[in-house]
Amino acid sequence: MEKHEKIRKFIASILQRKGDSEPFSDDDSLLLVGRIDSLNVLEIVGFLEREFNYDVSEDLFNQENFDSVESISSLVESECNA
Amino acid sequence: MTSLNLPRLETIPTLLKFGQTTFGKIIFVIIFSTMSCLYTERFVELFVALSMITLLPDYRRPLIALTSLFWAIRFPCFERDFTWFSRHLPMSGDSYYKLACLAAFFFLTSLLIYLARRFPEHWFFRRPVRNLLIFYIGSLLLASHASLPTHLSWFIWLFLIISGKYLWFIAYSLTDKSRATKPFSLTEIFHFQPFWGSSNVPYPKGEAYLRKIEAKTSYELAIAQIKGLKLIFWSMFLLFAHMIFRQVAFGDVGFLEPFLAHFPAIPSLEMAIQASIAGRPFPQHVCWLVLIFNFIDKIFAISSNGGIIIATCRMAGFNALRNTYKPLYAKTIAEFYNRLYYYFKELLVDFFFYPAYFRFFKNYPRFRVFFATVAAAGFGNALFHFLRDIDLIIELGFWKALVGFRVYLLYSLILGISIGISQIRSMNSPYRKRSVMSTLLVLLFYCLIMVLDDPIRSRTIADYATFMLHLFVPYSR
Repeated sequence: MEKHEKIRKFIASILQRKGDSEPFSDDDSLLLVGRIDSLNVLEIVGFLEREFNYDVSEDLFNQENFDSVESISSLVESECNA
Repeated sequence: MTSLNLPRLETIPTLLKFGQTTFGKIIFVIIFSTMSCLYTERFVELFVALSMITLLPDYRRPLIALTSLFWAIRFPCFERDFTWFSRHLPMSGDSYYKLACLAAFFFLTSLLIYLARRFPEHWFFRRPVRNLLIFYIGSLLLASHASLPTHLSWFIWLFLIISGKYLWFIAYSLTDKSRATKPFSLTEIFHFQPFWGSSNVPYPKGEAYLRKIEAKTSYELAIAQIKGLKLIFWSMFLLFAHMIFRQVAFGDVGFLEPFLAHFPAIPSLEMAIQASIAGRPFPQHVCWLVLIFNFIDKIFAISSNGGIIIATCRMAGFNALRNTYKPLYAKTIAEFYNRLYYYFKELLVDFFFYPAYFRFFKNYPRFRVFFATVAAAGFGNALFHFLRDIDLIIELGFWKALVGFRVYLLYSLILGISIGISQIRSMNSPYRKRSVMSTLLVLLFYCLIMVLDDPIRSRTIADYATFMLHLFVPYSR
């Protein structure tokens, strides 16, 4: 739950920096609708590496998995459970 | 081109409800097809295709595959290169020959993608894009310089011309992350160069992306189609504005001709560069006007063409993002590129940026981003354009074509470094409001650098430097 909240806060800060003040829910698509872009995905990857020691390998990386708070949280959870 | 906020028609419940009825769907397709006759002669074929795809959503994929196959046979994307090549090889202009080449290409590509899904751990498919590009460039070198029997050489060239048009579509299929679970399907191959249009850049990306943005319900289809209609109206407006702009600025022939007869036309960039090289440059203010008008002309063309492609894609049931979205709202160099060439930028990100980012400089976060950006916007951009202009490689041979490419290499290098710096500056920086000055500086940068983005490969860097010099230093005879 804590991880989930941290991810949510980080994404909110990215959107705020982009001047996007529209609210978003955990399952709202962000990447596919253009609210975040590929550079933001990298910022999220960097954040996950720093905060959760999440090691994203190129083979498993799929940009579309970074589409919503929920999908990112599931990624981190599945890595922790692996 | 920049745009006002288009009205959010896709949120109006009555319109959405109407769009879900059979009658509503037919009306939407009729409106779209009527608009399409303003820019294409294929509007009848487009009407038939979109009607079937809209009314039979369960068969959307096979119908798109069939339509795209029909398009590939009737209007081959490699037609121009084949026509050009027919000077060397008369039979390449023959339609049965083209069909045979296309069939051979589809067969071999199907085999390649089947093998990639079947043996994902094979060394070739562990780094599929890198290996595909090495194979393609190796074949170019072989065809250019090896002493091969004439017919074999022709065959290799024809194959390279066709596969060059589909190269990045194949790359997307080979890197489809769900390839382990998704069985190979022939319809996937026929989604390459889809009927809604593409350049060598796949619009909108590959099969994996299409699956994500595909309308799953009648409600989602109505949203996608309303957005498609909005975009086609916007694109037609841009097309019309572009036509007027060219008549006023460059003196193109058109209905405004009688009113503009006494106004001098702005010379083209080509004329201005030639004049500078010849030592008779235009006055400084004319050089600046040429630069600015050339830039506006390019933005109009990119915006309207990309808009038409994405609007048609949306009508086919895919809620794709626009290729060009308010470029004049960009606050940074990196943002402008993203807003102007979205799908090309995505291609560079997918095949050059991410691989470089994940492999190098993990302990240096900012340099890591910079390096990956230069790899994408610099190296990837240059490689894409070098391979795209295959006619020059055929004409000049591989090495001479590479030498002729030096100006574009410089352009890519400057662009890559500039976008890289822009990226790391914007990372973790606080929100900045758009300011006129930052926008103007970004536009000025692209105005200047786009001079080097020139399809003519016979000039030297010094030729462009001469023109640039005349922008800043008045010429005295």
